[in-house]
Amino acid sequence: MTQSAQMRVKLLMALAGLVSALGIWLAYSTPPDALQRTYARIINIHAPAMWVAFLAFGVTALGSIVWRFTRNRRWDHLAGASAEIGVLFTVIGLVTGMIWGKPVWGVYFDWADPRMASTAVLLLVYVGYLALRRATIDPEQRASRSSILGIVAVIQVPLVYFSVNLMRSLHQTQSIRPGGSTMHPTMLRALLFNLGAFTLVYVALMSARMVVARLEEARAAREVSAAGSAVIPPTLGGPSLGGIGDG
Amino acid sequence: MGEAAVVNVAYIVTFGLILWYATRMHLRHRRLTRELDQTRD
Repeated sequence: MTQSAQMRVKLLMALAGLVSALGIWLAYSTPPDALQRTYARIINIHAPAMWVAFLAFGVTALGSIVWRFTRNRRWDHLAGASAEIGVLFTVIGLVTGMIWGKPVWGVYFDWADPRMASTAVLLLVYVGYLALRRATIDPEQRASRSSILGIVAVIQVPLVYFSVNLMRSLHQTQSIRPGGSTMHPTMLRALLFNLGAFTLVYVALMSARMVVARLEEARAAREVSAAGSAVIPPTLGGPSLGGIGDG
Repeated sequence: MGEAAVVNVAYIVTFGLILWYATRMHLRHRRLTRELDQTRD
């Protein structure tokens, strides 16, 4: 299992690294924006990071739903791994948004803004999801409890995405819509390429995390079997039962 | 800080965090494989 899986992870990592490098080159070769100047290049990492975070939380919900039907531990591993990577990319999205926000908006973060506040809440909820997983030792209980949160928490994803349309926000609305794009073709090409590159990075990290999850389970199973063999089963009438039934 | 430097910081933070996570997974994988091999012996 591990040899082929390891090779797959290495190949995916190498491919993701190569495509990401190309994505960086494309992002840096875009012309400066008329209003935001070179700061606009941050969109090539900010938007793909948030896209991957939404995708990851969607996969967590999917894994949680399928686990509830199948009770196959693999789906629980998928949900947990995806939430972990989703948290990583939400942090990246928030940090890059803050770095961009200070020179363009004049603030790093504003709790009054629906997009920023809802993204921060999204992050906190999924950090809570990861804490819940760590707090439960029994794998069945862990899968059961976290699957409920994994299904409920995904409701936030459309709320975060549409918050800029539903409420008055400092954050701009979507640049890519079903009817077309408001971006220059050169900038759009770089953004779309980076969306693909970040998705590939997600797939590579997921494959690495899934291999680790399987190894963690194998170690846990070995620990349980080692602990089980160390327990001496009680025997009826043994010295530890002295007094019971003697009279 | 200049405009280009701010953009560079954003890119360094992003790919730094991704590399940190990938390295963490790699090290955990190596440690778990070693532990499992030891208990097998």
